[in-house]
Amino acid sequence: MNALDHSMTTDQISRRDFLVSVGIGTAGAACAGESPRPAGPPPLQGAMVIDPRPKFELSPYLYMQFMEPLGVTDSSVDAAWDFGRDVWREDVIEITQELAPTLLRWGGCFCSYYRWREGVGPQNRRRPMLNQLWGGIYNNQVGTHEFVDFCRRVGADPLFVVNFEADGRKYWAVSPKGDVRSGTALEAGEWVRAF
Amino acid sequence: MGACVLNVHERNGDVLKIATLADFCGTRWQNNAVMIPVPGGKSFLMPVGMVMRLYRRHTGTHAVDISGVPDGLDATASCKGDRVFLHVVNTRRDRSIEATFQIRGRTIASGRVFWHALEPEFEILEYSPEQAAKIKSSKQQFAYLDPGETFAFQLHDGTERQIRLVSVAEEKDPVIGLIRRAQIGLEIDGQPLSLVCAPYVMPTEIAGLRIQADTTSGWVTMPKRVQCSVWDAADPIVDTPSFSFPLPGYRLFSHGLQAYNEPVHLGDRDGDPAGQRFYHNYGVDLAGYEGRQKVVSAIDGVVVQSDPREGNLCIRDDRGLILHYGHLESILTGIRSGTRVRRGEWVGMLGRRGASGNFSHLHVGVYLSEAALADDHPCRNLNLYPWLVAAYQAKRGSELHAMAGPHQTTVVGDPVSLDGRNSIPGRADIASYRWDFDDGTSMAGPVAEKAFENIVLRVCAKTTSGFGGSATGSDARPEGGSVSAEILDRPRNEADGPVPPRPAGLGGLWLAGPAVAGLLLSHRGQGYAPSSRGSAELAEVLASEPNPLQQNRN
Repeated sequence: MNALDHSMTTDQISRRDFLVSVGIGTAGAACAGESPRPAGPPPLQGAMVIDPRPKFELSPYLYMQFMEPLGVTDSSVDAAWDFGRDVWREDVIEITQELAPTLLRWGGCFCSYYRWREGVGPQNRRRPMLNQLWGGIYNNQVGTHEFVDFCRRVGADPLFVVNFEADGRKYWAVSPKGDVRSGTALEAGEWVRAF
Repeated sequence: MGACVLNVHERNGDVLKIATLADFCGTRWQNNAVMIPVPGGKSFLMPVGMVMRLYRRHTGTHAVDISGVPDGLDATASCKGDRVFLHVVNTRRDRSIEATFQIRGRTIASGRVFWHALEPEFEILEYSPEQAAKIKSSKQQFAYLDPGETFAFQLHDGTERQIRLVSVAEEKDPVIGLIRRAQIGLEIDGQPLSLVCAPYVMPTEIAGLRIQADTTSGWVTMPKRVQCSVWDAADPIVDTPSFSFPLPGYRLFSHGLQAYNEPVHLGDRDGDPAGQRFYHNYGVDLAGYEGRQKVVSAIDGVVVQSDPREGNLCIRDDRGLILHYGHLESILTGIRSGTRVRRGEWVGMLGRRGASGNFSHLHVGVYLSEAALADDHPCRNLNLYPWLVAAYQAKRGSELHAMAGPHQTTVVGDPVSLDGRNSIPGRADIASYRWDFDDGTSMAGPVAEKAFENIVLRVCAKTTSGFGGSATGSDARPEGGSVSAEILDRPRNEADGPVPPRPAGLGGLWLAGPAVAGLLLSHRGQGYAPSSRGSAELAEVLASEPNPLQQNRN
């Protein structure tokens, strides 16, 4: 396996005329804003030309991540949580700090049958729920507080997906065991008010 | 592929405000950014996570236009203030693509490149130290300074350190006149820092920096007075996934080692066409058994020179660095100019061809360009010693290595200062130092000063099963044979060449490394680990029998 994550000095770059010859790369170049030659250097034949005038703002949230209890399909949240000590696994926190997502979203399809109240309060009194899409039973040990704690520790903004009438899907609105899983606007509003 | 998707996001950033490339974390999906081993272990970034991290850290606040992108490349650009960020993807898996760029109406003042180059097909299955190193990057920069000049180095947190050269004081060897060490006075953000520039010295960490005085214009012809290497202290010395130790299974790291800038010696019949007898080593020499030690490429690259007669092999990597191996006993057929080699690929056998001083060893050097290689000695290269230590430690990190180099020259009867402070501690701090001399005396402490009398020529070798009982509890247990001390009496005569005049009747004495002393080190609570080079108490004196590794060195 060969992976490089390197930088080069200006010295080396000028030596090689900024050759881009491997894999993917990002290059940062600092321009002399007050250039002594306002016209800049003469155009190079065949060079890529960057027009440095800003076109539009880039959202920092283009580099977000999302966390969703994926049940028996891929043990994402459960694997990241230390159930014995009721804390996040430190190695997961550390590597996420390295990844440095700007924003973390709680849930995806899962939120179509997630009732937020089941995931707050004392951990030993939280109600497990059937993970209808991803399989298995979700234990609700990681809920709103724990998720926000994770976000704070990795420097990401939290984003919650609300249960909007089970996304209009009847098969999620009521679980095979007869539980009502559909959420209402009122319930979402209370979630916002509670935090 | 993932990077192309991030480029699509960036191009459409006028309407797209929230996006990702990965599933965040989990235990089995290959598209997770973070893989969490269960039931325990250390979580790591998957390739998609590495790509996201790269973009997250190196993207501007506003998109800008880029045109003229050649076929096969996918490029976007953004800016933040007067900085421009360029994201370039080579979508071709079968070849490199060269491109240049310019910024309209501006002059580029400086720049940096970060890249990922992953093999087209690989799967990460578990955490390994190599992967941890891969997650980091090695951003070594070179500062060339004259006294009074300042080099600004930017740390990961965005802060800058001003490195100012204040003074350079070189110290010459009293016998052969070569520079032995230099004291480099620096200021880091105004705070004084004194660095020793000498063989075997590892970098110093201070104020978030790792810094090393590589060389001075006294050692080598260069336009500036001092060359320093500078890293962010959070980065590794070298990115070990892209630079490996060149000798697989090697257990002799400090045995007969000759470091960068070390004064070395060639005898009359040792094959240096220039007839040099003493000079500074401009690479690192690793002793080994002629024809019996495999040599592998330390880097991925292309062979640019292959000379089986002299045993020279040069490999250029994609950054333009040239790796040079010298004295190879043989180079594999098929390893010739133009051959692409992979890191870790077997290229030849260690030997003593060319100007090896009949010393069976691998000479390793890294040059910054082919032009530097062509100039040979004067225009070099990089202080490879810390890289090799780091690469060796990546394989055998817990080993303790006694270092008593560099070679010294002295006059019989004059005191010699033997310094063990450059020893490599391995997994724990060094707790004690003990020097055992072959006259039966011992000294404690990191530095030993001793005068030697009545030196006779002899070669010591230990060729059976390692170093015996005193190494118990330590990892430093070389296999097979190993070299011990070497003392060569070299009575000076007029034909010797550039030896400065000394009082009549005194002989010049060439001390190789710890020479007459065995330096013993111990980790706290453990047995002593003998010096790989000079454990006199353990060495058997084979008065006239040639040493298998270092025969006829003078």
